[in-house]
Amino acid sequence: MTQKYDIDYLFAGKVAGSLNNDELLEIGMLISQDEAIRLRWNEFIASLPENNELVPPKDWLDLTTMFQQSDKGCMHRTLLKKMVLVSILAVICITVYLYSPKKTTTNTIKLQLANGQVIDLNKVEDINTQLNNTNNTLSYKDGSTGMNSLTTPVGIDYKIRLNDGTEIWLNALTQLDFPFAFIGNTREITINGEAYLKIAKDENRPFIIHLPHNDIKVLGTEFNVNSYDSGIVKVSLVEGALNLLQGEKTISVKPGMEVIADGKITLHNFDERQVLGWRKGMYYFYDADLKEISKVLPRWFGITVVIDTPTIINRKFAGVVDKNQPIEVFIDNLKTVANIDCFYDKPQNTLHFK
Amino acid sequence: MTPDYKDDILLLKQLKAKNIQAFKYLYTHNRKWLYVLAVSILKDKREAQELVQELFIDFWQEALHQHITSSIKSYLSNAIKNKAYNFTRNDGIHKQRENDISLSNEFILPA
Repeated sequence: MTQKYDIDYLFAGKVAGSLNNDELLEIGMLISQDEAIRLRWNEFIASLPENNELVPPKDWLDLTTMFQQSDKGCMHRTLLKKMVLVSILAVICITVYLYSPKKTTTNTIKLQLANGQVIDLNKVEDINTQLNNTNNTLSYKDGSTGMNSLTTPVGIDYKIRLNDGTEIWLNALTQLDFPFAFIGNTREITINGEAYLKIAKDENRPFIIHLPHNDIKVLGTEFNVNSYDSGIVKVSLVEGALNLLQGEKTISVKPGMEVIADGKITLHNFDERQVLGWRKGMYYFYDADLKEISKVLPRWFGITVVIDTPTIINRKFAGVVDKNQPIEVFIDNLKTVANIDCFYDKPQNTLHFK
Repeated sequence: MTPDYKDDILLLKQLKAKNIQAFKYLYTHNRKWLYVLAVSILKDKREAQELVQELFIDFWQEALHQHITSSIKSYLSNAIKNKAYNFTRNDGIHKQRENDISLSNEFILPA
């Protein structure tokens, strides 16, 4: 069959709206005059999720810039290697996940100093004159440069002000490593978990955030980082500009965009309410399965979640969890709205989904 | 001024010379319809976009233009279809394996 145009190209181009006039004319004629092509066209349209209204995305990776920045074309192989590594890690994590015994949780915000001393920030008498812990916020006058480690427990978020003026809100179960004073040409910290950062502007000293698999380099911005899921880092930029470093590569992120690094890099627009809701104690989920919800509930309410019927794990839900309300409120909502059977075993502190 | 790359032969010649502007033209003018074609097979918009991006990464880094014997568009059309079918097959195997491990009666999530 010799044809001037590839028929799949014409079909897809017609839906994408990318054909030129000649091509449009050609496909129009083919569909109206050729019975076989008309049938194929109808099948093609039916195979698209939203029939004719499929709008191609606008957030394409800027490959040209990426290639120009890389000296040699070695990125793809590194990416592939990372993907393989991530999938191996995922299997290990699932295994550990399924067999790990229930962890005991303590409800204290802990600050471990560079010298090894552990301070319980819930106990006011522990705080010395160098540290100020008011309104759930930590600020300090200490000038030592060793790395301290701040950890938030289940269900508690906490704010810290660093000595350069940077403010960091830590979500529950998050660890932040930071020095009391920054020395040298950079300001560097490490985050594991979820945090919202408002970086103080200092053009001479870039701020570098080390995440489990990536680094972020900024001058002065506001953004959210989330690395709760092992192997996945999500960075959502609210204001300013930000560079995500993945291996040798640099990915520039614009305000309103979220970059997801899970071996591959994806950029897309994010829903501010969904991503930043935790700071107001709200967790919004849309089209989320029970697995995802089951990860948030233990983190916020300190409860254990047991899914008694494995088949329901993939059911999708939309809704909101309010941390300031007792867990029973969420359960009642879920029962009525999602028509799902669950009960809260208060003495065992366990929520069962049936 | 971007030169006119509408002519396949000229575009191929520039791609062979590793002209990044020619690649940019190829990428921006073909990703939309390739995306639609990928969605029609995968039924998943995000995966479709990723596969299209991957195809262009391969195209540049592995110099895939040297395999083009007919038109560029038929080549890209076949390439994305192969990628999408391979993906659905591998994804099926992957999901099957995931089900095999997660089907335990006591699914306890650590607190």
